Amino acid sequence: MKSSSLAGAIGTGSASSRERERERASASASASASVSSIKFRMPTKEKEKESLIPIHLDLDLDAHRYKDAFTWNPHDPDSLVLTFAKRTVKDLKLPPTFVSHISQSIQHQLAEFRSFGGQDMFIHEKIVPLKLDLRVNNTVVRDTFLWDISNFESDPEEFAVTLCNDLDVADPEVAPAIAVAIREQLYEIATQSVSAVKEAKLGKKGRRGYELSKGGNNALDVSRYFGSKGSGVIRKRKDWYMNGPTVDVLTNEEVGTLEELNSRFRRKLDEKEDSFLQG
Amino acid sequence: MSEGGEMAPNGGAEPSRELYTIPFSSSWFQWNEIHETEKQALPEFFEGVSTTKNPRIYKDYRDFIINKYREDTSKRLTFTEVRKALIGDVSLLRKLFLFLENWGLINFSAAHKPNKKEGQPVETRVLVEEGPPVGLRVLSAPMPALPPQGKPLEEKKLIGGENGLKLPPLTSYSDIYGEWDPRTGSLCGFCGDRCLARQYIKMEDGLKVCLKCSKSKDGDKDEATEVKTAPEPAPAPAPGPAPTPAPTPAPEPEPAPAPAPAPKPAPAPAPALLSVPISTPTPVPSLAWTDSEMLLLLEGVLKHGDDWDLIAQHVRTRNKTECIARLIQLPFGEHIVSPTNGKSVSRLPVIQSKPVEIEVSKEPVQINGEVGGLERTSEEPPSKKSRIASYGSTTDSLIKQVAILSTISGPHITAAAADAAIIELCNESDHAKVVFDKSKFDAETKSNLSNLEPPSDLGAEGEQPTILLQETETPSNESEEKFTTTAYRIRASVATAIGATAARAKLLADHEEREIENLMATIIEAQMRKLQVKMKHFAELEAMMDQEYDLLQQQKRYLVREWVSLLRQAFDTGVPRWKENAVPKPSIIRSTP
Repeated sequence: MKSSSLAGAIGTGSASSRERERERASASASASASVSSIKFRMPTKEKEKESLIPIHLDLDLDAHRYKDAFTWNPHDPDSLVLTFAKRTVKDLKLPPTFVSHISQSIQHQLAEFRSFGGQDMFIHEKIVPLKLDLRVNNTVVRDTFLWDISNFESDPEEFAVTLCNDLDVADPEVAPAIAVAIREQLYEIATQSVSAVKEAKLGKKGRRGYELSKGGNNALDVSRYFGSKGSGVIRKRKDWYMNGPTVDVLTNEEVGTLEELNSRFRRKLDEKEDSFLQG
Repeated sequence: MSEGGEMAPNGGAEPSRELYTIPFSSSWFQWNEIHETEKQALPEFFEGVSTTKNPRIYKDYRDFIINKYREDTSKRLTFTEVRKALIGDVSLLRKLFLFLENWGLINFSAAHKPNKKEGQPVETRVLVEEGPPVGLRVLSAPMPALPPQGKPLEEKKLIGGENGLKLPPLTSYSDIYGEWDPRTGSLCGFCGDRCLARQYIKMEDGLKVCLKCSKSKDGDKDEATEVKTAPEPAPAPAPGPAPTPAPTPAPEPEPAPAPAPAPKPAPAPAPALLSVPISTPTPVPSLAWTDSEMLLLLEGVLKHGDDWDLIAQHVRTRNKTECIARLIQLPFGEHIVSPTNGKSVSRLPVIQSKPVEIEVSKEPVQINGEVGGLERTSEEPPSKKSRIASYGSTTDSLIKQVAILSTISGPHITAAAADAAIIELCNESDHAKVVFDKSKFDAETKSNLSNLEPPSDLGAEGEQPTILLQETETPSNESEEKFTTTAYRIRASVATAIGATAARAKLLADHEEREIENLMATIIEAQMRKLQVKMKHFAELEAMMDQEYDLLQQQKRYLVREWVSLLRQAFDTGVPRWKENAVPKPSIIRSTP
């Protein structure tokens, strides 16, 4: 039965990706047909052998604060990290101590990613709502949309660029930021699925229903929408607003006040943490 | 794919709407069925392995998207609108959307979305007529009653209105107060209404015209409104009444035939004027680069080369990205930055044409124009003269430059220059020929100019005409007394005089504007300072609170230490057990220093 579905998949697959075939082929015996175990990777489209992972930097030294988020190709040679750090420090005029910190941080995150490599993760079809809530320079983007994490053809960059074009966003830095945010969320889901596999392997009986209660993400209850008795996949008009993106452009003053508030808030949190630890 | 096919909705519950076209190659499409093409392109739906993808759902998606597009076939349907209404993986939906779009099933008749990189899309083209100073029209009719005899008059923007008489605005007219508040949209320069965002057209001299006015102008006079770069008032050293350039009623994108009257930048403004963009409601400073900013930018680039921070500092009002973007847009802009290329800034004036798709910017036009014009103005232009002029061109008005030039050169050169200018003007237009009768041009020019002298002595010191006239005064005053020509010349002279005063008035107005801006800036700064003071105050309060908090912590620790020492003493003295009820456990645990 499984082999016939396999044959069917290969037969029709002019457009089906290699990943999907691999997925079917490596379906483990214990899993049902829709769940398969594959090697860890970012569940996005791999163009030319690169699967981008999100890198997050937040360094605060010598009263210079450097906060950045971008995507990195883990297949790139590691020498590139140092080059990148040097160039960044030069462009942003940071003190040179940052070079080592930046490269260390990047290496650390890369190593973390690679440590997952080779482990199995269960990716079965699950449609999760992803959220965007970010501010890039003067543009604030809030959005929520559904993403199928088993779809390895998905491309966050393309999605981000489409979004910005459709909404006429003027700032060209917004699209990459959106792509990074999406990748971060996908990365989290991927790592969670790895840990779910580990727990399953440890044989915790209590986690038998791991498929259903994974991660804490509110996966979409597919049967409600897609099943034969489903209510259909077209949303009611009144729901369109909630599921659509909103883009705001702030003036410089508003940005200034926002940053001021944020920094105060952060300071407060830090202080509270310290005082909590100290007693 | 370009052949048009028609698709009529057959079946379905909807009443048949109007037909809309899809390409012929998509004629396989049927409402009730799913075609092989679709199955092949989107196999995910038809493999039957997934609960979320099956043909029924595919059909639902597809029908929804197509119907959504059909709600308004002229408007391009974006993916974002669609995906917020559908439940499902956005990547897959996007694939489906692209499939439909590529096959022309949607967005086939919709307007193509213009490339964002080209600047603001030019949806409506305002055709303008290029020409020298507008307001001064020398006609064969008496001045006060400007009859609509010539299209030249009619097509210009009209201001005033006393006695129902509308005079064409003088060249230097610009509605300064109209565009004062950049944030809340501007007042239309014509009708005084507040323009809705995106519905005004920004002219080159800063005048904003709401669409209604520009359209009505088009309708009435069969000609678009004219645009004139503001800092180029009465550019010709010759008498101001620049005659209309080959007035053509039909909207003609070509600039006036001659390579412009003396100072007019030839092809440069034509493309620039053509693509008058519809401005978005962004504040004015972020769109238009003024001369001074451009000058600062170029100086900064020469000085600092690659260092954008310093350049941005140099150009105080712009940030880094804007500087970079602006420089790239300039012709040879990138080459200025890279030191390997030998081109220097001074080559900018040579460039006459300007790419159309870049948003209208009057700076290159002005830089080019003014220098280009000057090059033409001075008959015997030693190249170094134009260099000097180009240096000053971005800061001073054209009149001043011409004044400077005239002081540099001798009177005869200036006279020759004036002659040349007049010749050019005559060549351009018949009106001018009427006034400056070409056959008698040489002989009468001097007398003409001398006639101009008294009327133009209106205190317009430093203005080129005055200097020129004083220098070229000739005795042959009363020689030719052709009555008609004299009358024309008188009118011409009066026109010049008024032009000169207009120029001066514009200078004053500019000055006023700057003053007002400064004052506003100080006011705003004062408010900001107030707010900052308040914030500081609160910060101080916070600091005090923190201090108190610290004090309290210290006290607490001190107390705990005391308690511990007490306990120790108690143990030392052999008290067996100490009742610990009074001491809360956490504080004991935490009290280890």
